[in-house]
Amino acid sequence: MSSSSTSSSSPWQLLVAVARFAALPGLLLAALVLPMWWCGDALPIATVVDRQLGGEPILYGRKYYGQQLNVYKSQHLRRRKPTIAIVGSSRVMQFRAKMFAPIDEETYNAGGLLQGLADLEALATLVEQGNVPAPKVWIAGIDFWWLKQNADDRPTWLSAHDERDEVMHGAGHLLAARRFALAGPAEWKSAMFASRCDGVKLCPVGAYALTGDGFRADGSWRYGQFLEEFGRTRTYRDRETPPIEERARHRTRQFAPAPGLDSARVARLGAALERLKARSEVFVVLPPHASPVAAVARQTDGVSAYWDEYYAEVPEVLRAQGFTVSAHETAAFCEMADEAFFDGMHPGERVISHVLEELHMQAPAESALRTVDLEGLAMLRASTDHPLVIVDDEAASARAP
Amino acid sequence: MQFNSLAFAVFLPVVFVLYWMADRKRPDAQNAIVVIASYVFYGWWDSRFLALIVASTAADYCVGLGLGRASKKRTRQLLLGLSLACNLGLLGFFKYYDFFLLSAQSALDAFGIQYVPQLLRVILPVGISFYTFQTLSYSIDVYRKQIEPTRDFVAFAAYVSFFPQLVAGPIERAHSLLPQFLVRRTFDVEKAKDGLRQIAWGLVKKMVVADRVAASVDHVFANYASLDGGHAAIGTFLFAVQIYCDFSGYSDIAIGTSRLLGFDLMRNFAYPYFSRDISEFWSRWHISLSGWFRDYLYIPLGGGRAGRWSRLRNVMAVFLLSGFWHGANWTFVIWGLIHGLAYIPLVLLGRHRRYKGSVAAEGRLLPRPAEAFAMLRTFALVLVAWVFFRADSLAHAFDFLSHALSRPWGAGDTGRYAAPLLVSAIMLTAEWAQRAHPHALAIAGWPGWARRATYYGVVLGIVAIGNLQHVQFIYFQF
Repeated sequence: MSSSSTSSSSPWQLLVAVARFAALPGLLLAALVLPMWWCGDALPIATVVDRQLGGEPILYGRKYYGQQLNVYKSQHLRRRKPTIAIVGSSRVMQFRAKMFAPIDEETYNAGGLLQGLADLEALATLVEQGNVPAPKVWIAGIDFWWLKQNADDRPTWLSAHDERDEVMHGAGHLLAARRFALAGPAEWKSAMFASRCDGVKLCPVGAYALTGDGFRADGSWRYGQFLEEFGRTRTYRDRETPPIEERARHRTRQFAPAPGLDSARVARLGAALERLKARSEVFVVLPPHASPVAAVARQTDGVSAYWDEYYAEVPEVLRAQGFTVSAHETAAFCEMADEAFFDGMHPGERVISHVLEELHMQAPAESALRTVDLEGLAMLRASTDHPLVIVDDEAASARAP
Repeated sequence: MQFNSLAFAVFLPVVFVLYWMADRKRPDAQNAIVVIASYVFYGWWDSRFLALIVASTAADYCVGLGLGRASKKRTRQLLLGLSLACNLGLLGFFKYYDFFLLSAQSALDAFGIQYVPQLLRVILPVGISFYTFQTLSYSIDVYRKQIEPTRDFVAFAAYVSFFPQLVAGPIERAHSLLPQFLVRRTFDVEKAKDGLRQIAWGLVKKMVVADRVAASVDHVFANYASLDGGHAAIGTFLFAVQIYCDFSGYSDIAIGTSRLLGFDLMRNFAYPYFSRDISEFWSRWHISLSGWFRDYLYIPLGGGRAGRWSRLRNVMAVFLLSGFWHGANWTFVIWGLIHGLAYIPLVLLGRHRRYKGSVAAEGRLLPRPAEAFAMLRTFALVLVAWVFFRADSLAHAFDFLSHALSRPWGAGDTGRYAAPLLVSAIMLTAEWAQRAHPHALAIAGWPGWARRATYYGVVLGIVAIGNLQHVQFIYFQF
């Protein structure tokens, strides 16, 4: 912008000058966004959902644009209107639709939608408003840190009811471009040379999915990177950063000390589940942990009291309210070792299939969950000796009805 | 619609093109575009409250016409009273109704009388504190015969709703801004370019500085009880930076945007943290508000011509009401009280105009030791007052100050504040270097290559480290 122009210059010359100035940053932005578009990171969520519902074997995982699980999972719930829906945090993401045969095509895993009690309450509100369809069965995963007296109740994406796809507004592109620019040459190359989907093999859409990690069409999460590592080592490793066991030992994050179970929160939990129960059957899962984590939690001052209280009281309170509950500290209930865990608190498909079996056997005779074929589930388990996965990814592709 | 949003980034060029495409020989055509754009801008937040602005506009337009026709003093007073009642009534209802009821409840409770008020919990319309004062300015100026009432409703509507300054000022005076809507505007490329530079600087202050330090400020004020004195001091300093950059950033964008359309708004901030005493601070902080209170409250009460005690009363009235204007909470009143108590000695000693028309370290790179001391002393007082402004309640403020002053300093790890302190230091250094200019990016006189490098540096700074999740401006809540 030169200072030599006269005051009588037209406004259009200013616009041209601004456009010339903006050309360079614009080109830079385009250079950053294009690879993200190419690898699928910049694909609108609605488009991904369309393609997954259309039967494409897509593995979806955004890295630079926000994952926005509330948008992704909510859209699937609304479009699919499943008979059985699984909700909770990442710890229930290993429920595979195939486990629910013959109603596998009516089952959707919306794990990741709930990050806390406030999200569960928000979900109940959305269902009551008709914003999210009520399935016949909810399987709700509850995490132990939700009920602490000092638990974080700040609104997350779900309870804030913000469903704007980051890809659809400019600030999202700027944020993603910034993250991509900082990711480094290896990531740039990976995004720029991402292979296109051929409609046959599990097709990665999004920079995260390029690593083999991502959401399948049935909503479950594939731990591609860890499965590759596990294939080489065949040993359990608490792969989280920092490891879950260390968090328990040092009383950090989910294991931050708490004076005890918050009875008000337990009451809120019960009330939120009752609201869901008004329209659906509700089954509750308190997912198990790898044994080292449970052992440390039981022994660590500041953690053990809460841990013991949680496992002693919460399942009983919920059962007294009429809910069917699967609550186990570890996988000892199904005689599985720690190799059946992806990390200290994320059980694999094999453990989860046992949880499903337990819920099935406790479910009332008329329950929709009873239609699950337990023999088929057992055959699925027997079809492989892999401790972590029992459903073959290449063959699995949840098609829309 | 927020300035730091993509919607505004699209809105502004569209309005700019339509505005200058309109017949420039006819200001009414451009005014109509301003009105439509302003209503779209305001309605983007909540279209329900558009009716309030329209009602306020219509009421004061009619009052103005009435004042123009009325010759009897009593009639003129009644008309002015009507305008005051409408505007202050709107403000009082939306902003202070629940506050007065809750205050009454507390007062009665102190006497053991139980009173459960019926609170309305009305949403505060964005910008109501600003546009009601602006329309009142018109009524009062017409009453005082400082300006003629206008018959041009579109121009008047444009003056009331002018989108760059509608929701957070500067609070313009009718005699200053309204005439600009009644004449032809010519496009001045140098003014427009400087307007763009000012917008850019405003965005830097908001997105790179204010929004980045906000998390640290929130952390300190929420957790001060478990932090040491050093954290509290840093948190208070960062709040001072946050509120300055947030508010002055908005004003810069407002002024810069107006200049793109050929309008000149009043300056609202003149580097207040470089002030050498509290009276200079108030000549540099939220200038439009302090000027409004001076012209429409202080002077009518007698101002400086009143006797000593009346003068002090007038000064305190202005500061207390100024604090109260900011919000329905006693913390804002105490904030105003602190400033008033600091201002009064200067008035009594006749030193409240000592630094008028000058800048610190004028013509030098660094201030003299005495000047530096005066600036630090003034800043320290301002910081103490900011604690009340930021606190949720008086108890919170006193408790915070008590912790800040009684806890040892240096006991905790303050590394988390390194980045916010760095961006604050860079911003303050840039403004110090440019303190003789209206804004820090007033660089029209620099060589072309230096200007271009600066512009790209600013864009890179905003994109690389700015907060791109648009965070609401603090003064929107007032």
